[in-house]
Amino acid sequence: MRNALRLAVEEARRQGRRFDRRTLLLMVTVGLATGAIVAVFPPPAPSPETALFTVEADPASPWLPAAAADDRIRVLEGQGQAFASGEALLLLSPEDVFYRGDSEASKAALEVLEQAVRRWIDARLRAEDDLDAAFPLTITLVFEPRTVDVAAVGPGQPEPEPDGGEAPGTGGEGPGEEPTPEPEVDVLEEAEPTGAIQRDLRPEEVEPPFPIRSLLLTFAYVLPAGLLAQVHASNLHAERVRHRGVLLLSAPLRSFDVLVGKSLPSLGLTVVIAAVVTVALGAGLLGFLASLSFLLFLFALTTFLAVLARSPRELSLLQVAATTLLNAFLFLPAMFPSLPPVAFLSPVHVVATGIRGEAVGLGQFLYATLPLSLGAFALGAVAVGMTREELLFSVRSGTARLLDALGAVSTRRWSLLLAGVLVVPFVFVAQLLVFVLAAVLSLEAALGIFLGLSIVVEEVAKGAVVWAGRRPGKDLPTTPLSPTTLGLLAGVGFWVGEKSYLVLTLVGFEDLPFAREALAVLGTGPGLVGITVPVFLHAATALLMAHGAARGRGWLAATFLAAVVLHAAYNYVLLGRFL
Amino acid sequence: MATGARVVATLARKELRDVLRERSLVVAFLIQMLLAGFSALLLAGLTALHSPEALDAAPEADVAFVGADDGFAPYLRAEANLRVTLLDGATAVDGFRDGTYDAVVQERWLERDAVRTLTIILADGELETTLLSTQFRQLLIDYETDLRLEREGRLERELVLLETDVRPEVPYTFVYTTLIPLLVITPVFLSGAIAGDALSQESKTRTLLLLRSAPVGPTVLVFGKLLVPVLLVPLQVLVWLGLFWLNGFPTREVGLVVGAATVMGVLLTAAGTAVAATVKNESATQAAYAVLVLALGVVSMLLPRDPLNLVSLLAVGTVEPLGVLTLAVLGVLAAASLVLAVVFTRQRIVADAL
Amino acid sequence: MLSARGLRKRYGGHLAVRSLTLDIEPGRIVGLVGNNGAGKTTTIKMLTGLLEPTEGAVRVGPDGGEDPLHARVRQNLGYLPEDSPLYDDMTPLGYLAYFGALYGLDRRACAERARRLLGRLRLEERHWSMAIGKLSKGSARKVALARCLLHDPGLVILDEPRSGLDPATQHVLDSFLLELRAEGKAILLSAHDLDQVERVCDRVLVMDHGDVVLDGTIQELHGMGGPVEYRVRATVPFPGSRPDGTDHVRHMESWGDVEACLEAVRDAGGRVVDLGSESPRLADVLQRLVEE
Repeated sequence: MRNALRLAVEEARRQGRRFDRRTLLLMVTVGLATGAIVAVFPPPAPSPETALFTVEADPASPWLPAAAADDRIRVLEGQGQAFASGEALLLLSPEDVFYRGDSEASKAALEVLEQAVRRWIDARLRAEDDLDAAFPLTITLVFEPRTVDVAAVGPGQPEPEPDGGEAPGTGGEGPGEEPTPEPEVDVLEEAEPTGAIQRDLRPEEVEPPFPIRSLLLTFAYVLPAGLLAQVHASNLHAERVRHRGVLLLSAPLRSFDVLVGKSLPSLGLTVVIAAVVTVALGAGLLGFLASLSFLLFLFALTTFLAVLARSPRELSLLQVAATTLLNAFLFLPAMFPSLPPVAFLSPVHVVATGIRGEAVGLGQFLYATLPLSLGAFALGAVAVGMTREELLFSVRSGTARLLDALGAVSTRRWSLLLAGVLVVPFVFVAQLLVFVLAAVLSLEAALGIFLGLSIVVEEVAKGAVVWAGRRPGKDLPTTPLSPTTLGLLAGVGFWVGEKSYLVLTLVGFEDLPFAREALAVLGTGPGLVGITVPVFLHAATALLMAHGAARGRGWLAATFLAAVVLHAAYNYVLLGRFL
Repeated sequence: MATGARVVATLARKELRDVLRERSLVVAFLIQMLLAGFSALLLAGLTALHSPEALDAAPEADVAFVGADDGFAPYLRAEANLRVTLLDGATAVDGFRDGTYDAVVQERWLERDAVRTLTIILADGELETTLLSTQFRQLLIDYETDLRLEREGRLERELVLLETDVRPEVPYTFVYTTLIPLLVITPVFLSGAIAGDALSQESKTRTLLLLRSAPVGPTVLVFGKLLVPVLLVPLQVLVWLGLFWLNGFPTREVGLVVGAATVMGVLLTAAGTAVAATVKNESATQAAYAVLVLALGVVSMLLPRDPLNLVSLLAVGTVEPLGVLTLAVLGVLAAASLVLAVVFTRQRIVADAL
Repeated sequence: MLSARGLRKRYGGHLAVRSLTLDIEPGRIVGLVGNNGAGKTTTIKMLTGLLEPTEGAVRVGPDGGEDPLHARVRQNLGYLPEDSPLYDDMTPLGYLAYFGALYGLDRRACAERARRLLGRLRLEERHWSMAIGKLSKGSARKVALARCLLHDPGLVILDEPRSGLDPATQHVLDSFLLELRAEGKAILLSAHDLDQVERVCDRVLVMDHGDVVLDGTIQELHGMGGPVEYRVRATVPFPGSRPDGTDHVRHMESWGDVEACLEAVRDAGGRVVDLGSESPRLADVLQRLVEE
């Protein structure tokens, strides 16, 4: 470890000398020029919907002024020619508004026109003398969190009897009785809400809270840390390309020392960034820890890519792909704050919640941070495993090197179990991605495709572990483990990983409408039986593939197919029983 | 001696092979596909949440109403999925807290003809809340409109109304203002990166010397390197537009959209090439290109129609003066940047500075 | 084929090449020798039209020739840069086809010529479809060389073609160059390996810090090193000899003296055991010159 630290200091010193003067000059010039232009001609805020809907209006149409006042509507004057020809989506005549029933665009335009009319009316009515008539409604809205045993109180249940000593007898039981209006109890005072109170709302402003602000603030973590990780990966990669790293590797240093030593300065800086941003945003301790989980994952991922990529071009493209993926994975679930099981898939939601000052349960915290933390650890382990002469500088294809990496981890008994476990977060992410890709093609078919492909993904993962364990790269020694041992360990490891993850995360969400179905799809039924039975499935399929791997590629392919069929049959039976 | 065209074709072919072999295009495509996929998911979720009509059955909810029965309460009662119970304030709040009721609504007024105050308490962080808010919103809009109509006599101005239940069944606006423009513009950035990378690679491995010693003029050389990145743009854009068309989102002005994207592609490819010619070092080129792209993005907001908006409008089929003007400006900028980049890169090559 | 007059190259304040004049004729091999930084590569870049001289002119081709800065002149030029850059992910055949297209060669003729060249250079056929990145340094160099000659140029310029190669490959290279000379090509090669220069070049230019310190044919250079030294070893003493073991040896510089000694030995009834000559090594000659 001491060697690693020494390397770290040296590395920190070298970081500064990366960019030559010409480049910096170019970047600074571009930055200054942009700043100058923007200062002199401030660009308007982006308005993506400007003039999106073309509408034809008769000058005598009463809706014309409203349409003209809305930026999103582009008005053509006419009596119907444009509408007939399809250029206009709506026709505003003096009497009516016409739309096309078979055109989604037309319907969307109508919706927008409706909003425009309301807004226009409101604007006009502000000049009225009798404001009570113009604005007869004042709305106050509060979103109040409550903890409720949802299972106990469901629809159709009788209302609970009020306890003795509870509400004073104001006679407010049963429908149809008019309560006396005095003394007027303001429910707000009664409720003493902790949530934010929104007053004087217009009807169209009644909307569920969408914490976009706190979501956007989390970008403050990702941007600097991401940049740092990228720079670090480029540096690391550059050493490989010129084989400069050979000098270090031939020195009496372990590969762990080399990789960790080189990464330590950037890693430390990342943690510092996370701390600084946490304090600035007020995200709290849990927010800080949650941010670490995805920042460390990002760091581990880019380091792994630096060790894997064969050229700077490949590296930059892999980085772009990986960071886009990660960002999507981080931000999209957080867009559903009203669906905690979905929102907490992303640690960003934990951070955003912390910024808003709300509490997060331990179970939710673990659910959000475990996959990425485990993934970071896995990637780091694999990257260290690959930091060896023959692996670092080889020109073999990408998949071969991935397998090499896996093989470096999975040639001993315990590490084999570990490999099985570590693969699980990636399997889940892969399954999510499969679903998403299928959704692009067709939302309806997505579920079916997902069910099918998720089986394939799991078997591929187990197969990879088994193949890498049995037949690591040309330059690594073959494992002494027998196929049976190999298969059993890989299968059991996978099962351990899968079930621990599920147990940790889905417990507490069982009351979700789709929980049972989701669990069934993931191979778990309710109760102890549902959790333990799958071990046989995973062990069996992994065992099958291990024996196939021992005999070579063709046999592996055959046993893989058999495993998929076996798994599909198992799922079919399971789904049939529990649905 | 080889004709200019053959040389350009040869250079371009190798360029294409390199791009395909390094899986750059596949990766780039994957990124875009994932962007589209995640957005589709997000959008499906949001659509479902914000339009209960889209759901097969709006969930049943219990509303505790505090106040007179002849104001807003009938509107709530008229909804099939809502069960309204009239209560006093304290019972209502207690009922809300223990989960009996999903919402508390209180209506108060000093006089029937005066302003009516509605206080609504909904549960935070629950799925029903999102659905209920959407439902309430529409009811409140209707309530206000009806109240205004009742009091129309007191108003000087005429009430112009438009009430309709018609809603688009697909997320029309989101697709055309966000999804399609994003997917059309992403290939543009990527092309610049690919072009810059290719040039700095040749310079770094010094294979540029080989090309220069061939009977190939430096101008032809630069064009050969630019061709493939530029052509990749319309290719990808067409695939995306096709995919959307198949899913029921046709693009009206395909030619103009592809044209706009290609023009922007020329601009960014020229920029990427010029950056690579200036900077040489590969990783520095990437960083500098990223900064440049950001800057261009900001500056592009100054155009009569910003690029995203332009693509939206063309996709929807609206060809209007500002849009045409923007296209013209982009065309001029692209031509100028192309000329500048070619001249600059050529000069750097001839000066043996690459 | 190529004539350069008064070439001069200045980079900012630094004068890389002072004033260089040379001619390369068909059927001749000219060597450009000097240490690193002497200005060899800069000169070569000017000769190939890749760099514009600050002063001076280069003319390539018969009848007065043209300026190699123009692209079409390079149709008749084969240039091998230092460290022979290659595209690692192409195969030799693919690489040659690529450049063949750039030089405007017909595809089939080019493929045939490529095979022939690779054969002449003794590159194993199984390597012809392997990625260049996987080949050994020597094999890769052969591929690079083949590319230079694909379009049958009259003028061939090689920048340090021998550096980093094993002796066997170097030998193949030498023979190949001599073959090319026999075909009538004008060849220029640079080296800081003086032995190679000796073996294949007709003419040598020595550069040091941008200056040409020496310019002459191999014979002239040898002549500069001092006279050839003859030695005669016989069983009997003869005029001027000294005992060396059981024999008698004499070193002399004039052939006339050698003839006289031979006669003397014959008259004395002895036997000539050894008769030889030693030319001063070019390396020593050049070393001495550079030191001056």
